[in-house]
Amino acid sequence: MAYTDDNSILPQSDLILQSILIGMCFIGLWFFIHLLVTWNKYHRPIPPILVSLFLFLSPLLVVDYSDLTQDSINIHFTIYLNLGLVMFLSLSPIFLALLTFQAIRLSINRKSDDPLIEMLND
Amino acid sequence: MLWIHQTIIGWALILAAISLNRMGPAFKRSKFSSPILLLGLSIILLIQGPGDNTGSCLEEFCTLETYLEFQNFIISSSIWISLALLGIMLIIYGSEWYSKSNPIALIFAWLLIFYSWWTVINIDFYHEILEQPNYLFNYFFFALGILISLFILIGVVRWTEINTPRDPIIDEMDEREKRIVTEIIRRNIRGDD
Repeated sequence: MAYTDDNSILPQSDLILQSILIGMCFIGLWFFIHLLVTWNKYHRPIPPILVSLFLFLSPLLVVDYSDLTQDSINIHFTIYLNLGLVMFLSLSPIFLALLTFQAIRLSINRKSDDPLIEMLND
Repeated sequence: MLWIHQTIIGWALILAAISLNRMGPAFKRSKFSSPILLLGLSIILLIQGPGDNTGSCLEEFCTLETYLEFQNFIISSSIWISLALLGIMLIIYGSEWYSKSNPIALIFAWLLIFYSWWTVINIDFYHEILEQPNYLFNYFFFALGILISLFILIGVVRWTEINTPRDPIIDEMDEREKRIVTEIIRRNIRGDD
């Protein structure tokens, strides 16, 4: 699932730019879905939604449309999101390391006295 | 619909389920989050075969080989993430922090976490990444893209909050009100009558 110069999905762009755009697109989708799902009357989500949409669609800003059909753009975009998912999951053992560290702390340390109870007694 | 579309629909449902689960008070989470999460996971794990993608997909990405590699990676990742989450929940349950210590739960939890690490270590995709340093280069810039996005989004959220009209400042509690609040907290924490 890795990509190289040979299978670059953005014409006339380099891999550094593609990697950055995949990250931005991935987080844009995540944030956009989160804002839509958690919509409530106490939120003012319009500015963040617009920005997350912009991030989500950011790869389209650098696509060279000259040789691409609508269907092809759709496929490119979906592959971008799939690459984002694979790269995110590939990096997720970092979170497992953090979880393991916290698990060690929870297993070894004892609970300290509740500071709130202490305060109430005083 | 190609399998790459199916994966993104499943992932979107998982994200929606996680966000729904964070809505509302801690004791009353959304009842829709679990079914949506299961639906999203099912859609991702049961992705259809590559099929005939002639003319509708890029040759380099929609091959049987890529599909199998992707499916293998997604299934392995789902296994270790599930085991790790179950392990950490058991550790929270078995540790002294929130209830009485339960050594059996702790031992079982650590077995799950070790097995989770073992699964990660044996995923072929990581061996492939480590053999080709230029992949790591891509990952660095992917992480940079995530950081840039988060920086922008946090800035926008802060800007929105700063520009939200504020409620008028209320007066500080007097001594009687402070005593009432202290008593309520005391009774709730200790379970006094």
